[in-house]
Amino acid sequence: MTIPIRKISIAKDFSKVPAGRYAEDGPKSGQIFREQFLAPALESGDSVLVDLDGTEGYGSSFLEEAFGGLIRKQRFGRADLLSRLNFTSAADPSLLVEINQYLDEATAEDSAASDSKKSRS
Amino acid sequence: MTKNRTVEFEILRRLEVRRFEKRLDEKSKRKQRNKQRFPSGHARLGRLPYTPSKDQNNNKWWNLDVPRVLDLIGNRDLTCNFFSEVRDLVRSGRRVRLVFMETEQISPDALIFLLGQVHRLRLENGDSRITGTYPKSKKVERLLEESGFFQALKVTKRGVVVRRSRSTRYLKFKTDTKINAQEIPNLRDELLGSDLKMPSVFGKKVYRALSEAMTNVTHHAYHNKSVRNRALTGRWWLAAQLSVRSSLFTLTFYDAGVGIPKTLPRKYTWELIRSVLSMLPTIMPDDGQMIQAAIELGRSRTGADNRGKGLMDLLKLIDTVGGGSIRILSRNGSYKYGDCGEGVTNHDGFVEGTLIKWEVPLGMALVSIPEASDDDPDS
Repeated sequence: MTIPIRKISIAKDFSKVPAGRYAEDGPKSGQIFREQFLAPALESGDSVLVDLDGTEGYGSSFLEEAFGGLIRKQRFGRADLLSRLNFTSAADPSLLVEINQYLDEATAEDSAASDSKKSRS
Repeated sequence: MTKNRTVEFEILRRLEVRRFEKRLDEKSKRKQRNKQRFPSGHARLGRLPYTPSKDQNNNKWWNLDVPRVLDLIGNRDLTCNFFSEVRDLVRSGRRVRLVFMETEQISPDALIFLLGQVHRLRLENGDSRITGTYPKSKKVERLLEESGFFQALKVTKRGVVVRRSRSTRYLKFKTDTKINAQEIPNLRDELLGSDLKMPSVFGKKVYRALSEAMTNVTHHAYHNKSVRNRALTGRWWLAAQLSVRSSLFTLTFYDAGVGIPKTLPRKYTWELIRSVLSMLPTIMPDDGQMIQAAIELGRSRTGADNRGKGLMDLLKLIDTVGGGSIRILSRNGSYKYGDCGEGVTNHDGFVEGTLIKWEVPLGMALVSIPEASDDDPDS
């Protein structure tokens, strides 16, 4: 059975000027995108394809919070995201490398935190 | 007199001579500084560097001569001293009129600093505390007019038409207290107009750098305790210009917060800061070294959690383009990177907050370069 693919275009579905990290930074922040668009799509069980083209650009704060936050804050596993979360960007392929780096770093940070919890208990 | 008393007197005499020589030296340096600041000779004549006058409502104004050259990189100490005087006068309750009669040159970094400082003082002390006069130089007048400075000061237009140059364009400055990323494409459209285009890759890197700069200001720059007016919290100023004559696209961004040297210890431990600078535990880094530490910690991702990448976004604009330079000025320190080399320095001149200036060759910033005109009023 094939898993349905849900496509999210940041420019068309969210904002052409995404910026900021936290919800208090404004309505176009990484946290808002993750909580209102990305996480619900993943939680529904679908595969998600995020189209990064069409915006004015991205800051590292937005990208890290939107994608790294899936692991740090919303407890998605790296293996699960590897199988169900994909990105596309014809205009700037370096974004794909950058986002994967944030996901890897969030995974490493998460496992370091849980190791330290285990050793304390 | 015993031998010991003789030796004691001799030591005291020599100390006194040294103190006297030091006082003479300081007096001579002060004279030199005043000579540069006040070519009309106020200080030489022993007058105050600012002359008081009264307006039609009998309000007393302190007329302060703006230096001939305002430049935070080429003339930092003098420029910073000037702004320090303005702040002191306004905050002590005096009304200040900035007299631009002798001013011949204002660099882009000094311009955004001027805009930010004047705006800040008006927010903190009221609009009636600071105003300005028109400069003698048509070039400076056009710069102050088109950048929005006179509008910000609410100085009345004098009705003399200042010819716009096709080959030098200034953006009316932008300011806000939140992350207003829509201003970034607006900046591009207003500055370039319909006849010039920016390459898409460069445009995205400009967006990245400026949106991160705004985010940094919102998260780190201001301490509630140091802010005298709520309208100032989170405030940033943004300006841009392009010049065919100097073949440069210049972007400047400023916040009047506490500065990178003060905000860095809130994000990282002193141990980590000293380790990237290879410093001993007992040594306190100066402002230039603190900016360097901020850059190195962002580069190496040492000890960082998910944050700390924003500063590197500022440098990436230069790296991606493959040319140009960035300068970061904060408190007594400054950092440079790019075609001008990489390094930090410290100065006597104090820059309140943090100022960032990007300079990119016009050929990298635009798809096609407009022609310089022979009858350019800036020539």
